[in-house]
Amino acid sequence: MWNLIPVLEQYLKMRQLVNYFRTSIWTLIRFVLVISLILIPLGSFLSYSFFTVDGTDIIHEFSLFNYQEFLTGEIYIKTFIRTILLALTVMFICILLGYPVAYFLARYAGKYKYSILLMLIIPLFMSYIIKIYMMRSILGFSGLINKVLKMLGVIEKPLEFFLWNQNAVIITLVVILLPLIIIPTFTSLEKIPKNIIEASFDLGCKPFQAFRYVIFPIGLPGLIVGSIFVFILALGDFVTPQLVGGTSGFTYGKIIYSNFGMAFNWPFGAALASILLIVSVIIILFTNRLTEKSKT
Amino acid sequence: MSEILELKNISKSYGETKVLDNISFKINNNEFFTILGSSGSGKSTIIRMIGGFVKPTSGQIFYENNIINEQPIFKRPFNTVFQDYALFPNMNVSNNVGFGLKIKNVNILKIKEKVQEVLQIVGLENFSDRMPQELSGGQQQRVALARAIICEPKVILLDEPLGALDAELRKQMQLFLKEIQKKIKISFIFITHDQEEAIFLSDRIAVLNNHKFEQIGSPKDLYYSPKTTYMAKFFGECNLIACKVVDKKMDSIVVESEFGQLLINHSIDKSIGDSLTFGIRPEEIKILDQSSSNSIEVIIKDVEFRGSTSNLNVKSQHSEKYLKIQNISSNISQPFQQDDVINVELNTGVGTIFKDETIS
Repeated sequence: MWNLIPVLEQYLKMRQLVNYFRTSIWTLIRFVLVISLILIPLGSFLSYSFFTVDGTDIIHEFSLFNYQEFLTGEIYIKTFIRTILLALTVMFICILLGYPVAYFLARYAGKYKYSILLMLIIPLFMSYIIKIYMMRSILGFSGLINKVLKMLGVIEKPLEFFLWNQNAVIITLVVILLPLIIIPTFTSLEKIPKNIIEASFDLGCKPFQAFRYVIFPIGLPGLIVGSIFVFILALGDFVTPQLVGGTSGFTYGKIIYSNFGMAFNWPFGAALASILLIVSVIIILFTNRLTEKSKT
Repeated sequence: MSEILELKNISKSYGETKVLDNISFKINNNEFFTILGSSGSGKSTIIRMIGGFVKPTSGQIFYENNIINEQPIFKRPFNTVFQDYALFPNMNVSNNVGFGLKIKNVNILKIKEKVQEVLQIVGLENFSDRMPQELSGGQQQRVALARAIICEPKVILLDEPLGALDAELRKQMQLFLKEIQKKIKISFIFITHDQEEAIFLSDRIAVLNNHKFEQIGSPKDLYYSPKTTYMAKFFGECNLIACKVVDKKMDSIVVESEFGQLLINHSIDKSIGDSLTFGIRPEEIKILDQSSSNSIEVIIKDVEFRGSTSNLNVKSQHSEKYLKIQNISSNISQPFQQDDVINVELNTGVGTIFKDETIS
C-alpha cells in the first residue's frame, strides 16, 4: 500500500494555489474597476487642465496658463466666491427649512412618518429640468405669485424680485435640494433610541436641554451629510442659473459649462472644474474632521 | 422603617388592554424591592409610571406623602437604569456619568470630583475617557448605574438591567448590585423575571401575575408561607393535595386525601365536609424508618438524582397523583431504588393550607 501523506500534501498545496489565484483575481477586478471608472477619467480631466487651445485645436503641451488665467482674470475669482456664498445661502436656508421638518417627522409624525417622507422623496424622481420650469412658471412676471398678488391688489406691476436674478436661483435651488437635507437628517434623528431621550429626561433635562445636549449632537452627522449634499450640488449647478438666473444670476458652474459647450475651451473648463473639485474635497474633509471632533 | 414611595390603587390600560389592575404597594427607605413577573406582565409599566414616563389610568403615586402623578420626569427624585443601558453615544464615560450634575449646573470641578468618586464605586476609574461603544455589556451596565447613583436620587429604578448579560456576568453583577445597594443606601426597585435572582437580591419581592400582585413579602415569606397555590408553585416545587375535612380537633384537623388520612396541625375555620388544598414542599416530607400511626405507605416510582439531593416520585396504593419528596443524597446509607416501599410522614406541622381549591 502506498503512503497517503505525500498525496494529501500535494492536494493541499493545490488547494492553496487555487485559493490564492481566486483572491488575486477578485482583487484585480476591483482595482480595474476603480482605475478605469474613477481614476482614469479624473486623470484625463486633470491633465486636460494643463493643456491650452489655439482656435479650436487643443495643444497637448504642459502649461499652467489656465490656472494663471483663473488667478489673474478678476471675474473668475469673483464669480467663484459669489457662487460659494450662493451655495452657502442655499445650504443655510435648506437647514432652516429642512431640520424642523426632519425633526417633526422623526419624533412626532408617528405611524405617518414614512408616508410623509415618501411624499417628500417623490419630487426627486421628477426631472430636474421640469422642476426648474415649474419654478419659472410660479416665480415669473406672469407667474402664480405675481398673478395672485395682482388679483389681491397688493401690487400694481409684477414684482421683479423673483425672476432673472440671484434670488430666483436661490429659491429654485432650495426647492429642488430640500429633500436631500431632510432625508439624511430624518434618518439620523429617527435612529436615536427612544430610551436615550428618556434617559436624558430622567437625568433632569428639560425638553430644550434634551434637544441641546442629546438629540441635536447625536443627529448632527445626518445634518452634516445633508448639508454637504446641498452645498456641493448648489456649488456645481449650471442649469438653474441658466434657466432662471438671467444675467445677474451668473454662477461658476455656468462658466465651466460655457467653456465646454460654447467657447470650446476644454482645457480652461477642465482647469476651472479641477479647482471646484479640489475646493469641494477640502470642504468635505474639513466637515468630516468637524463631525469626528463633535463625537468626543 | 419609614416608607418613601407609595402606589395606591394603580390601574393602567392601553385602550382595551388592561396592563395593571388596581395594584398598591409601599417602598421603604434603603430597601431592595423586586417586582417579579413574566414578560408582558406589566412589570416595566410600574417603574415607568414611577419614573414618570407613563401616566396611570387611575390611582395615585405618593412620594413622601405628596401625590406626584402630574410631576414631570425631570423633577422627580428618581433615576432609571434602563434595560439596554441607554448611554449617550456622543459622550465618553465620564461625561455620561456627570451628565445629571451638568444639567443641574453643578460646578465643573465638583462634577469631576464626584465622577471619579462614583466611577471608583462601580470599579471603572480607569475607563473615564472611553466611549460607551468601546465597553463590554457589563461595563456599560456599571456606567448606567454610576450615572444614576451620582444624582443621589431617593429611589433607583432598574428595568431588567441584567437581562442582556450572559449567565456568568449576571452572577457577578448580582453580587455587585447587592453590595452597592448596601453601600450607598438608596432604595432600589428592581425588575426581573428570574426567580433565583429575585430571591438572592431582594429584601422584599412583589410577584405580579394576571395584572395583579399575587403576594408581596420577604423571600422567606414567599417561600414558606405562600398565600395561593400559584405562589406555592412559583418558587420551587410544592406538592398540592386535595383534601376533605373528616374530623376536627382542638388545634388540628383530620383530612381524607387520595394518600389516605392525614393529620394537619393547623387550626382553621373549616367544618367537617369542607374541601381544601394542602401544600407541602418536597423537602418537608419526612421519610421514616418504620411505620407509625401518622405515616403513610408509598411506593417509589422514580428516583431523580440531582447531585447533593435526590428527588423521589412516589405513589400510594390508591393515588393517581405523584408525590415529590426531596432527600439529601448523603443522608441515605442505602440509596433508594425504584419500587421500594417506604413510610413517609406528611403531618409534621409544616405545610400550608390553601383556601382556593384549584389545583393546577
